[in-house]
Amino acid sequence: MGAYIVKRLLISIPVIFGISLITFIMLNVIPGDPIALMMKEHISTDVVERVRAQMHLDDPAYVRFFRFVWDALHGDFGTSYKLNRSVTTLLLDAFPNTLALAMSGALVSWIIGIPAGVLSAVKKRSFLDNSIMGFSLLGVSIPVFWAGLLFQYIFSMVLGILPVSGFSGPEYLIMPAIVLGWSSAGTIARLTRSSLLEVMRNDYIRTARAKGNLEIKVILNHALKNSMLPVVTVMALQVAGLLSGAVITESVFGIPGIGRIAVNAIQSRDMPLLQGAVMFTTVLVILGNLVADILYSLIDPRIKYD
Amino acid sequence: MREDNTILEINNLKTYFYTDKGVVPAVDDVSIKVKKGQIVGIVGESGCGKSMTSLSIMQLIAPPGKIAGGEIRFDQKNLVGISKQEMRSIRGNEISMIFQEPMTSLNPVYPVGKQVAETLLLHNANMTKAEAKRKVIEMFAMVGIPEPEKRYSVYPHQLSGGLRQRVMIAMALICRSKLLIADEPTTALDVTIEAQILKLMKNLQAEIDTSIIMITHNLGIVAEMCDYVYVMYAGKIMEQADVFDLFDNPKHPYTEGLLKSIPRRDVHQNKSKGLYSIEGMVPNMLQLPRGCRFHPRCEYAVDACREVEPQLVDMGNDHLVRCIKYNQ
Ligand SMILES: Nc1ncnc2c1ncn2[C@@H]1O[C@H](COP(=O)(O)OP(=O)(O)O)[C@@H](O)[C@H]1O
Ligand code: SF4
Ligand SMILES: [Mg+2]
Repeated sequence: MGAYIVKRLLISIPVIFGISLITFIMLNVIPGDPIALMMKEHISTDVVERVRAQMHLDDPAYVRFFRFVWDALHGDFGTSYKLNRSVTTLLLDAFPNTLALAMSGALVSWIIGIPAGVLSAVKKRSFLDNSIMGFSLLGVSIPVFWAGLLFQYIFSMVLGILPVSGFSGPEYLIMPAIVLGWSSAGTIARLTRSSLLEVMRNDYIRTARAKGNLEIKVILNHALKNSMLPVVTVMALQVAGLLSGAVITESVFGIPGIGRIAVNAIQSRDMPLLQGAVMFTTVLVILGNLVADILYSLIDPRIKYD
Repeated sequence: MREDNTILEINNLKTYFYTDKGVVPAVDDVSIKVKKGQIVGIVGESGCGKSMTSLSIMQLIAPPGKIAGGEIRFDQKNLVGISKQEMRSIRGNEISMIFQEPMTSLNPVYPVGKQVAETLLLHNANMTKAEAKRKVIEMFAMVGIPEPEKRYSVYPHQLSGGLRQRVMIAMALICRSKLLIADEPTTALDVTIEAQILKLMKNLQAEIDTSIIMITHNLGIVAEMCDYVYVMYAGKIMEQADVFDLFDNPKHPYTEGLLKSIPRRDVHQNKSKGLYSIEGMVPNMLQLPRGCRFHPRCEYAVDACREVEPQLVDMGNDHLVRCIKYNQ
């Protein structure tokens, strides 16, 4: 297993390199003079020239790319044009906020989604099943920003029990986590339901019944673990996605996380910051996939990596 | 007039499937009797209702299937309409089952020993896990699993089909069931392994003194294993007799056909010619032929066969047959 993880990490090096190259090219194609962004109007050409030279902006693109890679390998993603601070520091500062939001959002979606999916499968084609599936469709199809605004209206404006936005205590996390979790709970519930129904058709379920098991034990002890395989994959990728920034949720609730940084970087054409955010996301998604595969092998003994 | 030594008596069992396209009489008025210590065969081609008969005994028929009539008396008690709780205490404990597919009948995510121990713990509230494990390992040794301690904690995919079926047998016998239903236990195995498993079952049957219902489509297995046999076709019993009687004196045309299609281990089969098989196919259960269900495939069929369904006729000596030829 250890060797497998090392191998996977080695394989991901060219992937990360490739993605950094692609983003670098794309960002350099986009027009917009960084100096103009950084400085106020009316500066002497003299100063502009000096800053350009300092930032090596006049070097050929391939030189700049390899300098970027070299610095990135040393943990340095350059300096934000707009904020004039180290990109690495900015991302690392924002990450704990995003982490808290992502984990609580994911947790909410599992706590709602998995039991709802199990109930739906057990009571297949009943009123309960139809209601749960209806709700999950709502969760999937209602836009997050709209749900966010609705929650803010109800819980902050009308009831006044939760803060509207900002991020200065655990209570600030409740609404965003529910809004974020709600939207993926539907997906998790649907996936759990279909996977469980599929597993229930297996011969070993009949064996479990033939032993004299209670039906609830057949489901919880014999079917659920098997049915979690596809669900776990989606969960790991979901967490990776959330960690790269729940852009809309962070904006609606004013949480200073990775998503907000990325949006701001795009708006202000802050190339180093944007490049840094993309690299960060890439690594997270790769790690998410790896974690999914490791969880897979923990659930299913037939899967052995070597 | 039930004799004392009857362990199972099925009377006029009807298990129907209520599908969108109509009612499928998978088991249609079937009566079967199993005596203590007896090995009873149910033989017939695929789709004749053998598995549905066994799942009816276990009360494991799933919708849209339903037991529509009849009774299943096990140890004097009618299992049809019994409470769920009472039935659970019988399943795996007093009646247990081995299935056709050893490859898929074990849960892939748990060690095999644990799966056998589960049955034991379910039916013995006071047993400790350590005790259960010890008993499972003993049982593994008894069913001929080499290195039973080591095998206790391996996963199903690490075992061959033959070993998995031995695990299933261990699971079925761990509570010393009074009745073991083996639904084509060797169909998925190759011939050498099949012979070993059958021998094992026969030995264990004598040792544990259980009764066995042996379901198969191969009369050869019936000859080796069974005391008494029921021949089933399209949901109905066509012939039933003592095994020697059936082989010496087969009466039903379907039985004759099955006898001719026994795969023979001793004779080298001519591959190009293949095995003899009865012409035609098992009928669509939604559109059963009028009269005798077998008439489209029967070489003795006469006009009367297409009109009235023949009844089971007692030929004496516990030999019954459902064919118009014996109706005089
Ligand atoms: N879920 C179902 N829906 C409709 N018909 C079914 C269903 N399951 C089984 N049957 C019917 O029951 C018949 C007998 O099946 P089965 O007992 O499995 O046959 P065997 O074990 O003899 O091969 C089949 O031919 C099929 O028509
Ligand atoms: S009743 Fe007629 S068709 Fe049916 S088995 Fe006998 S001879 Fe053949
Ligand atoms: Mg079958």
